[in-house]
Amino acid sequence: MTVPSGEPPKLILPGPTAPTGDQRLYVTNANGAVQRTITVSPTPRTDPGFYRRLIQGLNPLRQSSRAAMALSGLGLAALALDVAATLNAGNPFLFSLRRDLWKDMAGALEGSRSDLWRSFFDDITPYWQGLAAQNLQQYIRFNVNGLYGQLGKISGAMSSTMNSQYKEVMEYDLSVFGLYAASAPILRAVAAMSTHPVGKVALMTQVGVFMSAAGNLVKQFTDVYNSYESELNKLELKLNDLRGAFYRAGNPALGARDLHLTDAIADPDVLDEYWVPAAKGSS
Amino acid sequence: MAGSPTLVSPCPHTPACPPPACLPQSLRAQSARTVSARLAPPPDDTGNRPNGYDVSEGYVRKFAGTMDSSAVGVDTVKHWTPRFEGWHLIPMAGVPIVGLMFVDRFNTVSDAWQDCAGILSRLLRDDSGKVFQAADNYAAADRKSKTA
Repeated sequence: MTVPSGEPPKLILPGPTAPTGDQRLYVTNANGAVQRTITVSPTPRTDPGFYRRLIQGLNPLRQSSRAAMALSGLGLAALALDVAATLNAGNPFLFSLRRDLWKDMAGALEGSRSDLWRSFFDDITPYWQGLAAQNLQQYIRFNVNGLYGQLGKISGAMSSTMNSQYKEVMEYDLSVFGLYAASAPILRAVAAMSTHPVGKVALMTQVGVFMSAAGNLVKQFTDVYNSYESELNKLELKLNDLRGAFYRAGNPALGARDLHLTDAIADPDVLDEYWVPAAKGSS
Repeated sequence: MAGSPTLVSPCPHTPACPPPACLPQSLRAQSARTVSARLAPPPDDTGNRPNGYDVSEGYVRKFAGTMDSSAVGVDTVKHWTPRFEGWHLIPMAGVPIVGLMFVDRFNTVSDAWQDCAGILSRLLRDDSGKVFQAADNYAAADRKSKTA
């Protein structure tokens, strides 16, 4: 970034909006001669398919369990639990993708903030005095830097919230799968004996065991998930800070604050006061 | 390198592109400017600065360019902002059913974030324009004082 020019350098950032085509990277030696050219192909993040395979494995197990539940005479209640348990399964990729996305966003934002901060102290402070440099310093230090900070806080908090959701959803999916995988063979075996009165009792007992396990699972998961209330609450508190920084009275309905640099900075009439080269001012 | 026969036709650009091949437009323009910035003498305290004003003004433009590229960066990030929508809300495909009651609130956070990032991006873009304008003003005043 040593280019004093009007054109910003092209930014290529990682993420789902990565350029679609191949990008070329020129490697030069100290004299600036191109040594070799590297072609970089962007790789978009894709669903690794964990969840699809899980559901594919779960469905046959559910079917044999349901058949056993129907035979046991506890059909409807058991079926309701079965539906509740499986509807609570979620695709963990949805959350891990968001975790990474928010993390990348926070990273890119911080990079852009640092560029600006460094650029001010490298390019303006050593060479300029006068009101413009003062105004710019206030603008960078107390205005823009704070705005970046508020945005960065939210994206960081979102990333960690998404990570904990990813973990819970993944664990729940595996628990549901484990429960069905463990009980389906037993239910199938007992269901085969259910024509005999003793077999029927055994089946009812077994379905009852399955129901209480499934019910427990659903209840625990609901409790865990409801504890996100507290994480969401923290996020919403930070959101208040964000709104306070960006909107008039913190209220989006009142529109954005006027955060702009003073127009005087670009006013030719006050040029001598605003833009004083450092060497000239000190002499 | 010296003495080896040139395999490619001479480079038509000024400054000449480094061998073996001509660089793409964006890189070429950039390298030309980098060189000129490097060759310009740094301002010193002697007062004997042939290009001093131009150099300082160049730094203002550079800073404005950084502001502008930061605006582009924030705008890019803004477009990534994820929401939960569409198939994500179908039970057994996306979000767990107990999660559905939280989805709206997460989306609210996403929307507010996106909106604020837009504000910051616009702010930086508008103000980088002012700083560019200031550099132009300075250059114009400098030319005037030299010719006068």
